[in-house]
Amino acid sequence: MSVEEVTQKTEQIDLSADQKQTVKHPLNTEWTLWYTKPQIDPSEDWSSLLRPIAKISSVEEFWGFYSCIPRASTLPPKSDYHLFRNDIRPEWEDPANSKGGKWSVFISDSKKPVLDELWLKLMLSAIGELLEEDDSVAQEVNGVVFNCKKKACKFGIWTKSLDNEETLKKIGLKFKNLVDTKLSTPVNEEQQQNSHPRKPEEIVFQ
Amino acid sequence: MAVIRYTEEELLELQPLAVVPKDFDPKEFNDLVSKVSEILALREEEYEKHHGFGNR
Ligand SMILES: [Zn+2]
Ligand SMILES: [Zn+2]
Repeated sequence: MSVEEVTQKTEQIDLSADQKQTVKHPLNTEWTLWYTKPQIDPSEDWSSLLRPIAKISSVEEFWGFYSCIPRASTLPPKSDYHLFRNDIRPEWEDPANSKGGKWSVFISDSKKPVLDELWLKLMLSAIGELLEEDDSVAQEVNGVVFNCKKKACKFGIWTKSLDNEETLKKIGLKFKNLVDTKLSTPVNEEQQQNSHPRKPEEIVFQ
Repeated sequence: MAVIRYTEEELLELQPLAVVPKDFDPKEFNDLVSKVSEILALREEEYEKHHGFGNR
């Protein structure tokens, strides 16, 4: 019997049925999944369209909600999924985002089967803290986003800051690699300035 | 404080141990998404009927 097996056995024996329900593989921080509902009625404002769906604090809980929510590719147009750290709202107005930036990539509708794989990979990278490898700057990533438009989709990574260029570039590179492994043709990096004064600089792939 | 990290492989291995988070109602959310999809599809159909090109 290997050390790993013994450890697992001990874990199983020690845990009562009730405790088994509790956290086994804790995440570095909690994450909240938000959904933006498309506007059906003009009276609905943005804040009522954006709603938290589930809060997760373990790997097991991630898979628990993932298994029972609609796949990204099946969402109606103008829906968004946002997976954000702790209680950060997926809005620029949130103090955690107001000084931050965003990496994003557009994917055309024709790549639909790839959307779900990409979104899963992006979420796993976020909760596994794989987008930033330096512990001293961990939690630079505030959240990851899937925006579903009628003809295209957009994936994004929201960051806490704009000034830590080195860290942001590393995150962008990881993002690019992640996207490239799922798309047959690699995307090109291109910087795009955003003219909106309240929105931080937007760095866009493609 | 050390950062808790999981590789993609480690995360994928834990998939069979899925636990539905407390305070999460999957049915409520799925119903919402289906309802919205349905309404939007109906509107699209309605729009096509009025403004679509030619008669099919
Ligand atoms: Zn383990
Ligand atoms: Zn009409």
